[in-house]
Amino acid sequence: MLEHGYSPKTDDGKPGNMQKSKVPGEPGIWVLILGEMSVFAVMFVSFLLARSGEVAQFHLSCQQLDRGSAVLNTIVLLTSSLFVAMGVRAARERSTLVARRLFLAGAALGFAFVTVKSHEYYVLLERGVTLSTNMFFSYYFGLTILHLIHVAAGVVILLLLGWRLELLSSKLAIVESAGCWWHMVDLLWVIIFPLLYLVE
Amino acid sequence: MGKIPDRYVLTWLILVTATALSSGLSVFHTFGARGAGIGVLAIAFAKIALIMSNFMEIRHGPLALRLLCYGWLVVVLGIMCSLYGTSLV
Repeated sequence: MLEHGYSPKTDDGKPGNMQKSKVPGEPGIWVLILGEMSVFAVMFVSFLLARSGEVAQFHLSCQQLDRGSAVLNTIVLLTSSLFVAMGVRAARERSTLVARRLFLAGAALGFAFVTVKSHEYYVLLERGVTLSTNMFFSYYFGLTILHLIHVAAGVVILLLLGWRLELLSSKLAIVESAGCWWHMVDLLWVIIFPLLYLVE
Repeated sequence: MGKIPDRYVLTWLILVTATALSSGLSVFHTFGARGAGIGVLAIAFAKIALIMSNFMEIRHGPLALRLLCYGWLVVVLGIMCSLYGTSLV
C-alpha cells in the first residue's frame, strides 16, 4: 500500500489530507532537476549566441528540419505528461492498477517519441547532414541527443513503475519524483522545439 | 449540467492549443519575423509555467522551490528573448 507523503488541494480548491506545503517528491530530485534545467539553459543561451553570428546559416539549416514530426513529438510528450500526472494522482488515491496502466501508457508514448526522433535522424543522415555539417546541426544533434538520453532514462523509470509499482512505491515520494523527472523531460522539449524548429 | 473538466486534462488541452498557435505563428509570420520569434518563445515559457504549476504541482510547493523554478523561467526567458531580439538588429 502506498504511503502518502504529499496530498495537494483537490480540483475544487478543497484541501487534501495534508494542507502543509511540501516539496513534490524527494527533495533530492529537485537538486537534480534544477541542475539539469540549468545545464540546458546554458546550452539554450549558447545556441542563441552562436546564432547571432550566423543568422542566415541557422535560418537555412532550420528549414531543413521536419517540423511535422517535431509537432507530433511535442503532442506525444505532452500527452505522456498528462498520463503520468494522472498516474501519480491514481497512486495517491491508492488505485494501483490504474496508476500502473497510466505509467505504462506514458512509457509507450515516450518510446513513440524516441521512434519518431530516430526516424528524423535517419532522414537527415541519409541526406548527408551530420553533427559536423555546420554550427546549427552541431547544436541540433547535441541538444536533441542529450534530451533523448533523458527521455530514455524516463521511459525506463516509467516502465519500472508500471511493472512493479507496489514494490517501488513504499513511499509515494518516489512515485512523485519519477513523475517530476518526466515532466522536466517534457518541459525541456517545450523549449527545444521552438528554439530549433520554429524560431527563424 | 456539464461536469467541470479535470485540471490535468484542461492543462493538456491548453498546452496542445498553444503548440498549434506557436506553430501557426512561425509559419504565417503574423507579426513579422522578430515578433513571431519572440511570440513563439513567450508561448513556450507560458507552457512551461503551466507544466510546472499543474503537472509538477509546484504551486503547492514551498516558497523557496517556487522562487527557484519560476525564477529560472523568468531569467532564462529574459536572456533568450533579448539575445534573439538583438540578433535580428
